[in-house]
Order: sequence, then C-alpha cells, then structure tokens
Amino acid sequence: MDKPRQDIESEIERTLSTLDEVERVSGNPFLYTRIQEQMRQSKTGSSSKRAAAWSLAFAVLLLLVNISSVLMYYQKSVQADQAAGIEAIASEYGLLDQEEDWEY
Amino acid sequence: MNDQNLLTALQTGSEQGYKELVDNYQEKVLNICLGYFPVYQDAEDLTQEVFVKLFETIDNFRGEASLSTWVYRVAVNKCLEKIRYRKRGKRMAFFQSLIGLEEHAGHVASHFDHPGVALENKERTQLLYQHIERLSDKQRTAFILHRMEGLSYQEIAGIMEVSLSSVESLLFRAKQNLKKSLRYYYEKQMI
Repeated sequence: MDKPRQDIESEIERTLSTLDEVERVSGNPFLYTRIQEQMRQSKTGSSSKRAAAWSLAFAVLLLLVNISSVLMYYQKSVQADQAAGIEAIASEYGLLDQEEDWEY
Repeated sequence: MNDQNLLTALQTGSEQGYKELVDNYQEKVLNICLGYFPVYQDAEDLTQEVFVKLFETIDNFRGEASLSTWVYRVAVNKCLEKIRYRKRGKRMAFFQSLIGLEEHAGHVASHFDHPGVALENKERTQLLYQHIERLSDKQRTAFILHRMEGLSYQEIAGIMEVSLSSVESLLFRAKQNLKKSLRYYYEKQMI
C-alpha cells in the first residue's frame, strides 16, 4: 500500500474512532415542566380548534338550509306560474268546459 | 417502579408515572436525538416532542414490545419525521437559492453543537456527522443505535421491526458506505 493511501486509511480510522470519545449528554432537569406546559398548550389549542371546526360546520349547515329553502321556494313559484299559464291557455281555447262535458 | 407498574401508571394518567418515564428515559432519548441532530437545542426540543408523543399515544401501546423498545421506536420515528420535514424545507430552500432568495447549506455542515464532543475533536466529529447524515435512513438508524447508543443487534431489530440478519446487513453497509464516503472526501483533500 502506498503512503498517501495509508494516510487516508489512518485518517478514516481516526475520524471513525472519534465516536468512542463522544460523551453522553445528561438531560435537562426542567424538561418535565416544559413537557407539561407544551401539553397544556396543545390541549388548549386543540379545544379552540375543535370549537372553530364546530362553528364552521354550523355555518355551512345554515348556509345549506338557506340555499335549499330558496331553491324550494323558487321551484314552487315556477310550478305555480306554469300551472296558471296552462290554465289560462286551456280556458282561452275552451278546453276546461269541454272537459266538463266529457264527464257526462 | 418496574416497567409494568410504570406502564399501568401511565395508562391511568398518573402524574407520577409521566414524571418517572421522563426521568428514566430522557437521557436515552436526548442522546438518540443528538445522534441525528448534533445541535443541543434542536435535540432538546425534539426530546420534548418525543415525550409529548409518548404521552399522547400511551393508550395505543399494547405491550407487545418492552417499554424501552417502544420509547426508542417513537424517538427514532420522530427523528426520521423531522429529517423528512427538513429535507422538504431544503428542497424549498434550494429552489429559493436558485432564484437568489436564500443560501443553501447542509444541516450538520452549517450547525454543530454537540455538548458531548471535546473541543479538540470537534472538527473531526463534525466531519463524521456530515458523512453519517448521507447514509440512508435505515443504515443511519442502525448505526446510531449500535455505535452511539451501544444497543445489541437484538434490541435494534426490535426497535426497527426488522430481522437480526437485516440489522447485521444494515450495519455492515453503513460502515462500508461511511468509509467510502470519508475516503472520497480525504482523496479530494489530498489533490
């Protein structure tokens, strides 16, 4: 093995062996307090999110009810107009009287 | 409190149980996180997230694995989740750098603050972490759990939910790839 290659291999081994010298890190004594705080905040956050979701759902429902009422009203008035139109044409051509005659 | 009693305490929502879980496992979780993210503040924030996740999902724990395996598994998954999140961010940063909005740099390359590393080894250890960062998620996890946490193949297999032979293969490939990557780096330095 030539010199540069040997140097590279020894550098690699030295670098890999630095892991043996890494010391373990001890935890933060206040970690539990921080976790409690984070959990409290996430609970508050999730309950306000839930409230917002309910409000949104209610608003959407209200909107749907409104839209369907308008549609139903419009449909009824169109039907009434159509019926009135047919009746007018029928009476104009005397169809209504003829209908009465046919009953005999 | 043994693991079984601790688990019962946790599942009943006992404050004492939560505190004991943090006391027993925070050092392990913190050091795992430092294996993935060698920046103390990031690792500590992640440790906090791991415990929040553990408390939130304690009811899903069926006791099929040991408590320590479960804690390690949640910690590893949280770290991998963070890596994916950061990779997405990096991709965005790359595109931003293309249009001249932001500089693009690797995470370990730009930050390194591992309190367990002596000052005289800092440069070399940082270099090693940069190359560990290039391993695949599975190889990196097996390497961190074995080489940094000192866990047995059996324990790693339990945490990663793979077979013993897979762990052996992952560790072998991790070491090979790490050496290859470092060799390439040093060869370039010598030119």
